[in-house]
This record gives sequence, structure tokens and C-alpha cells, in this order.
Amino acid sequence: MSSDKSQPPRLAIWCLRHAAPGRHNDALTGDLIEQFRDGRTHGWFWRQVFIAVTISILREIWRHWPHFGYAIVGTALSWFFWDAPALRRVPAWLHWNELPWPWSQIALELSRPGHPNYRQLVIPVELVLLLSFLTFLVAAWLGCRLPSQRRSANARPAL
Amino acid sequence: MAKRSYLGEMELMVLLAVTRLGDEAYGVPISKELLTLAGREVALGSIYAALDRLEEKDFVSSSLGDPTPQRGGRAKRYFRVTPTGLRALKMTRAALTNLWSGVPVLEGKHS
Repeated sequence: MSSDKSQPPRLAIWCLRHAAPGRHNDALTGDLIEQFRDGRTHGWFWRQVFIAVTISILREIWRHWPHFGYAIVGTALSWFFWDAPALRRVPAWLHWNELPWPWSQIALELSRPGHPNYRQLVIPVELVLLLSFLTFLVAAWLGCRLPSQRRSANARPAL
Repeated sequence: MAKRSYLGEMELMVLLAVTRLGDEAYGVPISKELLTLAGREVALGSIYAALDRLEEKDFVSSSLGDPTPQRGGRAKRYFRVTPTGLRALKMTRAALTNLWSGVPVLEGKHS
């Protein structure tokens, strides 16, 4: 990070660019730099970036709420049908082979059978939930994206 | 999802600031206007989120200015209120005036 006081924090600008995409991203970044060079502090800059990123994430969730709804319901249902009795006493840690597919397969492929920790690889249950959620989220995103791509490909006039 | 045609509080304040600033309405002056006139320090991210919604509702339109070194080579985005936005402002003012009138507590008739 630069120590020059007229230079806004580069990492904050990078976060703003990548975590808060939108049609006004460039204008917002320019406004923040202008204000910063007008005497605002690094703390102020970071706070503004944090707020902008949070708002952007919430707006994305709101815009794509069917995807997130599908992911939440899918994760909850898969857990219920996967091992319903376990819900009475959910373990804090799970062995990799108890992960839902495809994560168990990935863990299997990445692990080395000869390694001493091969049998002891355990994963926190929160991570398992997160992985399940991401699987459903990606599935929902692909499910919505692929048909629209096919439609636009069909609509393209033949050259 | 059907778009809301009425104005939320933040949208109303930002739209009023854009209207007051005329040709000079971009993020920084809008935030200064809100601070000076409404006494609120609003984050620029919140202002742009409101402007984004106002643009989706066709209450404001925007155009890019020239990039300047003072802004790290980024262009200003100027906003202007549209006739639809002006109509929405007038309707909101009429609705709020109706709601404000005849409230005894606010008119000092009630202790």
C-alpha cells in the first residue's frame, strides 16, 4: 500500500472494482478519489468502500432472489433427505466421505491415499453447509443462464 | 417484478438534490447538498444505489463528463431529472402535504 497521502488505498479501489460491479462503478470510484484528495482520511475511504460493497451484494441478492431461494431450500432439503436422523444430533465435524456429491468426489480425487492424514481429514459442518449452498447456487445460476444463452444463439441471424 | 413508481425517503431526498443542482448534479455535490440541507452524511454508495433505482424508474437520466486527473482519470456521471421524475416529485409533495395537514400535534393544537 502506498504511503503517499494523496493516493487512495489501492486495495480498497481493487475491492470496489471487483466486489461492487455496476454501471456507476467508475463514477463512484472517481467521486471517492475526488473526496479523498479533498482531505478525507484512509478510514473514511475504506468505510465508503465497505458500504458500497455491502449495498452491491445485497442488491445482487435481491435481483437474483430466486437463485438464492433455490440454494437455501435445496441445501435444507438435501440435508433433510441425506441423513434425516443426523439432524437430531448434527456433528460439528464430518469426515470427507460424508460430504454431499460432488464435494466428496473432489476431496477423494485431491487426497493422497498414502498420506498419514488421509483417514483423519475432517471438515467443519459449517463448511459442508456452505459447499452444499454453493452447489445449489451455481446450479440455479447455470439453469437460468444456459437457456437464455441458447435463446440468444438461436435468435442470432445466420451469416 | 413490477417496478415501484413511488419514491422512498432516500430516493426523494436524492431526487430533490439532483433537481436543485441542475446541470452540476453528480455524486459529490449531491452528497454535500444532502449534508448541508438535510443534515445527513450519506455514503456515496447509498447515493449511487438510490440513483440507480431512480434511473431504472426513469426518474433521472445520466451522461458522462470528461475524465480528470483529480479523480484518478475517472469521468463524472451527471444526473438530470426527467419529466417523469418531476411529475413523481410533484405527486409526492401533494401526497405529503395532504398527510401533514390536519394533524393537531404537528400544528401545536395538542400538547
